Amino acid sequence: MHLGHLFLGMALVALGLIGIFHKVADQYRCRPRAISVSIFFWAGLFTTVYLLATGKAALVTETPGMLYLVATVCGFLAAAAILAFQAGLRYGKGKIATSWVVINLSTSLPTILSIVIYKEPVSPWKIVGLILVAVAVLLLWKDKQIDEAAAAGLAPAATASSSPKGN
Amino acid sequence: MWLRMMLICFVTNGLGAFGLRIMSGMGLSETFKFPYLMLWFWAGFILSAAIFFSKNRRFTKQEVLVGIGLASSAVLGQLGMALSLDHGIPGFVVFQVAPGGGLFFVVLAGILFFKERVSVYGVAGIVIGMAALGILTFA
Repeated sequence: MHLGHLFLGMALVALGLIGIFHKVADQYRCRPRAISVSIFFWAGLFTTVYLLATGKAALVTETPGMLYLVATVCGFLAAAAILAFQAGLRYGKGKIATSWVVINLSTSLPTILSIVIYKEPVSPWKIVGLILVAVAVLLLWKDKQIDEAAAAGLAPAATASSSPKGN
Repeated sequence: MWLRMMLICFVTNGLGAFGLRIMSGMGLSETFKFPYLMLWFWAGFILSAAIFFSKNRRFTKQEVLVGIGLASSAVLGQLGMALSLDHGIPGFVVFQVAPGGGLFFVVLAGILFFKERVSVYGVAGIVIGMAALGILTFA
């Protein structure tokens, strides 16, 4: 094991903690709008400090104008995603186990766009992966429907975890 | 409503991440990754702040602390992946292990720590979703 593995472990834990903090935000009834502002403010500040500390701040002025436009549009979209995710958690009874899978599956969209726009080659495995994404989303939706039916007293939920819900 | 919100999140998050592919297509990823991320975060802040401050003025302590936790995790996640690549870990390992492991970690925490009930459909969706992400990473 060397330093590279340590950094990989750090990335794994940090990316996992994002999901956990979203759950914590829901448990403390944090407002989606406030969470979105707070995340982007601190993350913007941390990356600015990182660029200043590593002497790479000058790169910001050298960044091509087109990249500014792309970053702005994509940043707006990401903010909308955080707002929708936090609001969705409220309606999903705060289930991070399934909601976090959906947000991760959204990485299939850049794959589709890369195929369409950049004419990236489509392997049979890629097609299988994209079909499985759709199947997974449908199954997670079905899970949510079972939750709603159970909450309305229409049907017992077939559960993998028998413990009562914590929140 | 959950499905509607998750579909909005699915589309906006996916499109938001596509910027990295555009940057890669322009051949600028190596040099401008962190300046891009900084601009990306500040753009998200501008939109979020415009929405928030149109109706609100104050934050609770929890909102500030959770925001710091989320932001630190996001930046450390990106930094960890970039540094592990710099230290010789192959890209196909980094891009599979870090997001995939993180997802597994969250699902496990949801079920075991937060005691979330997940139906057999949900478990199947999680397993198939993880398999799909694995296939898309390696394909």
